[in-house]
Amino acid sequence: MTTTTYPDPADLLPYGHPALQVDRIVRHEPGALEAVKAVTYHELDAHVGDSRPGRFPASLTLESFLQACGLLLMRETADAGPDARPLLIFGSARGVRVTGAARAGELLVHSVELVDRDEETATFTGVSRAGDGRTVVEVDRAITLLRPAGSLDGTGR
Amino acid sequence: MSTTTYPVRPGARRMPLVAVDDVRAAGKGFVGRKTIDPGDPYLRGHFPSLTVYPGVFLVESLQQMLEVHLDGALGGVELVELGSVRFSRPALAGDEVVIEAEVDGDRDRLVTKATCSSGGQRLARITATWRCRP
Repeated sequence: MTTTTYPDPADLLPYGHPALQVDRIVRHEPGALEAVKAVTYHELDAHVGDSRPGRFPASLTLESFLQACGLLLMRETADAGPDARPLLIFGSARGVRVTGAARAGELLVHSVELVDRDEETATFTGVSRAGDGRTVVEVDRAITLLRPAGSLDGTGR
Repeated sequence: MSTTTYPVRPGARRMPLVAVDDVRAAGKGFVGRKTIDPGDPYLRGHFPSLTVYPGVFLVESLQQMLEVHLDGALGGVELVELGSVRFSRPALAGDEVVIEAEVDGDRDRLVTKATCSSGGQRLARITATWRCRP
C-alpha cells in the first residue's frame, strides 16, 4: 500500500502558534481536500485555564474549516511557488450550520471542496465531522478573497 | 472605554479569548465594544508579523456580547447558524470594534442582525441564529 505524504500545513499557511488550527492534510485530489485538527485539553486549558466541558468552540471550528479551505487552494497552486501563493482573507459566508462540537480527545475532520475560483475570490463548501463521524458544522458557501502575499502588512508584491 | 470583567456561568464553555470589553443595552438589542489586544490568546500567530482579528472572532465577540446582554455573564449561548456574514475590512491591533446588534426571538431561537465597525468604518455584517442552553 502506498501512503501519500502531504506538505505540513505550517509550511503552506501564514499563521503561527497558536493560531494555526489544522494539524495535517490526509487527502487531496483536484478540487477537494481532507484535513484534520486534534482537539486537546492541552490547547483548551493552555489558553483559558479551566475549560469544562472541553468542547472546541464554534468560532475556532469555523476558523479551522477555513484554514482547510486555504490548504486546498495552496495545494491547487502548488506549482506557483511560495512567493506567488495568494493570501486568503475570509470574505463572506452563508448557510453555516453548527450542529455539534468536537470534544477534547477527538479529531476534527474537515472535508472541503473548491466550488469556484477566479482571480480575486475562491468559493468553498464542505463539512466538519468529529470523532465518531458525527457532523458538527456544515458550510453551504464560504468565499475567501485572494490577495497578494504580504498585502495586509504592506509588503505585498 | 473601560473594560468590564464579566462572570462566567458555572459549567459553561470557556472562551479561547475574552472577546468583549463592554456591553450596553440599546434599542432592540445592544452595543458592545472590544479593543483588539495583540496579547490576547490566539492573536499572536494571526499573523506573526501583524495582528489581524480573525473574522470568525467577530462572531465570537458577538456571541459573548449576546451572553452578557441576556444574562450578565459569559457562557450559556450556542451558535446554531450563520445565515450570512460579510466582511468589509479587517480589524487590527488597537482598533476598537463596535458591534451594534438587534436581537429578536426567544431563548430557544434568537436571531441577531449585527453591524461591526471601527472608527466609523464598517468591518462586517453578521446575521446569526443562537439558542440558550437549558
